[in-house]
Amino acid sequence: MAGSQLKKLKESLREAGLTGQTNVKKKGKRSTQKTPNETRRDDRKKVVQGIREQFNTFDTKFNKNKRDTATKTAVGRPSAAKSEAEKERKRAYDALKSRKNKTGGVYDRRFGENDSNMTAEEKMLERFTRERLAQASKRSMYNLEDDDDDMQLTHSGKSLSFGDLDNEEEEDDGGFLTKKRDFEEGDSESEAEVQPGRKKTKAEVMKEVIAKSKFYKHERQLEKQRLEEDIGELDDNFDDVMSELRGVPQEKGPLFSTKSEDNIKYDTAVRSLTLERRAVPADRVKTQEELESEHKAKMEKLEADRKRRMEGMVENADTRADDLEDDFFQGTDEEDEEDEIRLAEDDEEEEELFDSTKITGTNNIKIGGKPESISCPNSLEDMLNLLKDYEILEYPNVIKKVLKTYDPKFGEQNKPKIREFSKVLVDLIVYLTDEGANSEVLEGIISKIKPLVERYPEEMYEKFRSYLLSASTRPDIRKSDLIVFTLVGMTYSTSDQYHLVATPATLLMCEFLETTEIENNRDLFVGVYFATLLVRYQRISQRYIPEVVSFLEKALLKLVPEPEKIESQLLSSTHSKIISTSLTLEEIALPESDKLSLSLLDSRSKSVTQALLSKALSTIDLLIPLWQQFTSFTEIVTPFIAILDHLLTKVESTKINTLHSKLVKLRDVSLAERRPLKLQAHRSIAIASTLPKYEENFNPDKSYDPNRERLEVSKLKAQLKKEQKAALREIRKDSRFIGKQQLDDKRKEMDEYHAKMSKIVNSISTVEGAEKNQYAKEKRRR
Amino acid sequence: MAIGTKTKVNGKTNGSKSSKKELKNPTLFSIEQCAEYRQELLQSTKNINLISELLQNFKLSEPLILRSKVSDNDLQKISALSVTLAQVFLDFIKTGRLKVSKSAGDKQAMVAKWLKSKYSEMKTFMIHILSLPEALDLNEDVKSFKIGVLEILMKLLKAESDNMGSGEEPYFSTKTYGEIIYGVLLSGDISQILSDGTIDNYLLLEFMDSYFNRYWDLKYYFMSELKKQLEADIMQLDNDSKKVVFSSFATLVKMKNVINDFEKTVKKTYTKNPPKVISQQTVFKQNFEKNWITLLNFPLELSQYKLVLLMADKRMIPFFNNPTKLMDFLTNSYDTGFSSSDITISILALNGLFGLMRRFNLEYPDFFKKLYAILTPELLHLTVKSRFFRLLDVFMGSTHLSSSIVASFIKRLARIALTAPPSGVVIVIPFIYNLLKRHPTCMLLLHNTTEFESFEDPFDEEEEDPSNTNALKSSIWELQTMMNHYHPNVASLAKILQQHFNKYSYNMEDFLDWNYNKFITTEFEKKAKGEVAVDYEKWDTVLGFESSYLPGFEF
Repeated sequence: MAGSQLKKLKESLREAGLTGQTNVKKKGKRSTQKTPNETRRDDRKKVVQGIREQFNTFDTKFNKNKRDTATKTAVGRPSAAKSEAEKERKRAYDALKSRKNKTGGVYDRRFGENDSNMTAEEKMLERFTRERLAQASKRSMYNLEDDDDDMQLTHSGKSLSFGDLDNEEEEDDGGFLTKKRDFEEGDSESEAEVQPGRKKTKAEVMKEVIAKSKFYKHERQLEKQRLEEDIGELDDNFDDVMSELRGVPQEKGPLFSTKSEDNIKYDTAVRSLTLERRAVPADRVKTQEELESEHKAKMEKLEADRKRRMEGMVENADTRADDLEDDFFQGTDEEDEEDEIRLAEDDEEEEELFDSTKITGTNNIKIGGKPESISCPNSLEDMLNLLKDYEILEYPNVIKKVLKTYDPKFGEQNKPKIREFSKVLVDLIVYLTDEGANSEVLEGIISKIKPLVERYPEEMYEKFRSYLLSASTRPDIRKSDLIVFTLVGMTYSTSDQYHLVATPATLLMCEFLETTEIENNRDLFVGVYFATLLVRYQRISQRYIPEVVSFLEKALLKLVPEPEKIESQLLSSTHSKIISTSLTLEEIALPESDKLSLSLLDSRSKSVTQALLSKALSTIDLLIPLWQQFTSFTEIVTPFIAILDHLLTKVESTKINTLHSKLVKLRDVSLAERRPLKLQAHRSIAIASTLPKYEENFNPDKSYDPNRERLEVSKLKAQLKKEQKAALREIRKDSRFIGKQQLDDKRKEMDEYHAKMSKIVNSISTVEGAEKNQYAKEKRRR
Repeated sequence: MAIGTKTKVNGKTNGSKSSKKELKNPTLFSIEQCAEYRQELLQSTKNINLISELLQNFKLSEPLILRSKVSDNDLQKISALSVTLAQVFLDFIKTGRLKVSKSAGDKQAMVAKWLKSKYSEMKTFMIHILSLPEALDLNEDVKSFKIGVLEILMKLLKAESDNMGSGEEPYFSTKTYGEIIYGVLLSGDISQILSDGTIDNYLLLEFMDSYFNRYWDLKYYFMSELKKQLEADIMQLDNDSKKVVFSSFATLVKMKNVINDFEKTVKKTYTKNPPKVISQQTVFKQNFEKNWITLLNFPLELSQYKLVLLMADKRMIPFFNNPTKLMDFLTNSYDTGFSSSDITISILALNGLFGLMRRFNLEYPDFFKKLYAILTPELLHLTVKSRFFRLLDVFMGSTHLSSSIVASFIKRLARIALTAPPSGVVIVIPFIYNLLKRHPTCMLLLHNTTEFESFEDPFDEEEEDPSNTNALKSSIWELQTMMNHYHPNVASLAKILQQHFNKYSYNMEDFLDWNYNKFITTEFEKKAKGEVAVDYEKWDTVLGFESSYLPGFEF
């Protein structure tokens, strides 16, 4: 089509037959064109609408399609939708406004009255179900006759069912409401024409009540009469019945049980047997191989557990390097179970312990004479009181006796006693060591500790910890401390990465090694002892202890003659402090035996110093296998080699010589094997890619998330967002509309008011003017 | 003493006429007598001669105080005497009788002169009392008496300064103050010097708390008078006394900021009308500086030396007019530390030097070389290590350091950690982590992918210059060893070196202040959460045999 918009419009109108001559008959062919006339007003409207749409391009909205511009698809008619929504709002607003400031009124609760979508039949059905439902819900819980109230068979106005019987039963139940209903029914039967919905007057209610009570009374009387009749009948017939009964021969049993003594016994035995627990088959006696394999399995499990602890793989031990202060050594709460299990297991071991007499060999003890009087000491004082009657050599036996007498197996009250006692035992060991008791006694007592630790882990570790705590606050180191630290090492699993007793003990010993300035034999002795002990602590876990290294170097430098001549560059100690002291040995004469007695702790003699030097050297020897595993072996041993070099210039000793050559050889090996570190050899991490993955037939509307769950979630999220937006938009539109309406209303009101006012003013002024004219006329007249 | 009390009664009854008798029989006046004397002296000018009697009597107390035990009774009398004398002289000063005025006649002048001489005699004696050596078992009463004497002296000083000036002219009795200072400083004993170089002298502490720290004029004149004293008298003293003077001075200026709120404190003066010169901060600083410089030339104990170095940064340099004067001292100390192998001194000197460098742009030759020299195995055993590492963190903070220097430091630190206590290792590991993070080139020390047929550690540990040690071609095997450290926390900390270097950096403050005590306390604070594992291995005996737990020892 060409031409202006107006021309186009005219053209199309004409084509539609809306303008111009309407009654033109086209020649030659029958007109198929529909002619809009009065009957076809709707058609006309439709056609006009079509033309209007065609010409107003803004009335329809097209979805832009980037790819294919040829096919435009109309998706909406915004103006139409808008006006529709406006209308809808207007309606809602008017409804709301009409209800404003009004209470009450008539609500249309009819169903489907205005619903054009439903057929008449559907409406009926729905109404019926609703009615039924409403009735059902109003039913009382006492209503037993459900459906049959309408469908009762009657004869001459009376029910043919067994309703009377039922009613009687119900009466027995005493349901008040039911009675009432029955009564009412009866009522309604007699006067069926009474409308049920009418409210009764008070007089009527009272009449009902009276009638009801009379009715009940009558019923009761009837009942009683019937009962009396029945009894009388029975009385009359009694003789007949009895004679008949007597005819039946009857077995006559004894009045009392005639069972013999044996039978009774038998019966009780049987009864007890049925009650008795069924015997279970005993465990088969295991063969030697089985026992061995069991033992092996147990050991393997213990070893596996130990290994797990050594590597710090305790539950929840998500050990990060940086949380130094965190408590990352978390255990579990299965302590109690473990405890019980262990108790059961350890019974055998316990027995074993008590039977073993190899320590003293004297089993025929005098204590046997007064076994009953032995008490269970709960403090060191009590203990010493108890022990003062015995020879010192008998102490282990006394303790054994106490342990046996107060074994928890023999009484509930023994357990706490033994727990206390085991704590006291530690105190006793400390006491006896400081008193200088002989080795047999100490060994005898110490051997009792471990089973007790296994049995009462909590008490014992608390005891040890409190001992360690007190030792940490004490300035001096006692002989008993050495023994207790050794005891800790013997008893507890020192290979654990973290151990509640072993770790503090190690720390305390290391503190001593680090802080002590070696001034006399005692310091040296304690230091060397601790160093050796720490090596024992680490015999499995093989951990590195820097303090031992620095202490041994410090100690050697104190002992070797002319220490200032050592090549100090190689040492790891301070150079200025290397001077001869009172401890320095002029000549070295290492003793034959390598054993050191604890009794020499306070000895100041030079021979002990010599022995200590020898001991220090053997400690180095002990440490070599441990150090050897470390790549820094060279750095660790270089100072020692330097010192030994120096020593060899002073003295000819095979021991020093072997140690020296061993160190040198191992150092060379270690140096040759050593390669630069590759600590950061991690699995390489992929560099995060910024390029999108190429998707064939990519559709932007679709999500290509590989994660199914995330996809769902994002879908829901998008939907939620959309809904939310729509809802908000609606709300905004509503409020805007309401605002507009209110403004309109107000304006209208004002207009009305002004109009009214002006009208009034006008009328007044008219009257006034008329009056005035009248007045003027009158005046003129006069 | 019984006789003493009798004569006291006599004295009381006979009044002033018994004085001769008492001089022959030297006993202290009783409290009542003192009161009598005071009354008479204050009543009329005629009794003025009684002063010399009192003074004589007062001087008798010297041997008593010197004695190891002085009875309470005697002490009460002595303090009564001192108080009486002080009250009399205070009155004289206030009434102006000690002033030699030209308008007065010769006689009056003579009396005033005489009184003055007696007054100075008394002051000298009192100051003498302050510095009297004390018996070993310190008597609390003697202590409080001495403090009382100090209080009297200070009161006299105030009275003098307020009244003895000519007319309305501002005046401060510097001479008396100088003497008091001298007495207080020397009242200490060499045995009272504590291990940290300060002195535990109660008189000095009393002086510090009640006077020195409170009043600006006293502080100001302390510095100026001390300067004079140092030039004159104190120079002549023996070494021990010099040390005491040094420690006393250090104690006075150590605790608080010397010029704390200058504007505020200037207004707070002990005397009523001190000269205006005290408000000149520069003069004060000059004196302060001069005193320090003089004192630093004294022969010092090691602890005192360390104290000075500790104070230098915060308590000395800010109050010097010309802080560069300390430069020589500090650089000397820094070097002394190396030559005497006591790196504590070097570390402390470094602290002061750092302050100078930061504020006055001090340049120091071979700085990193010297710093490298501090990294001796001893370092990690010292308590001052945290101080050093704080500084080292600053010095090594630059990312522009050459990686060979950084590598040398890393290697050396790792080396010295090998014999260090856990508190030291715990510092070194995160420190190295931070260094590696800042200088990724040095990751070679941790991770070197070059394959070697045979490898020899090229690190030269004897090389003193950190840029020539070849450390970059080495590896820190020492820290690999630390992954097997016996302390679980240290071991897990060391393991960060084989994890990804994800963390930006470690906050060094979390690691600097650990020590055994802290480690052990945290151990004992832990509560049992699981089973306390028992070793399943069994030993027959503890010591002595081959099968024992510790075969090498026996009971």
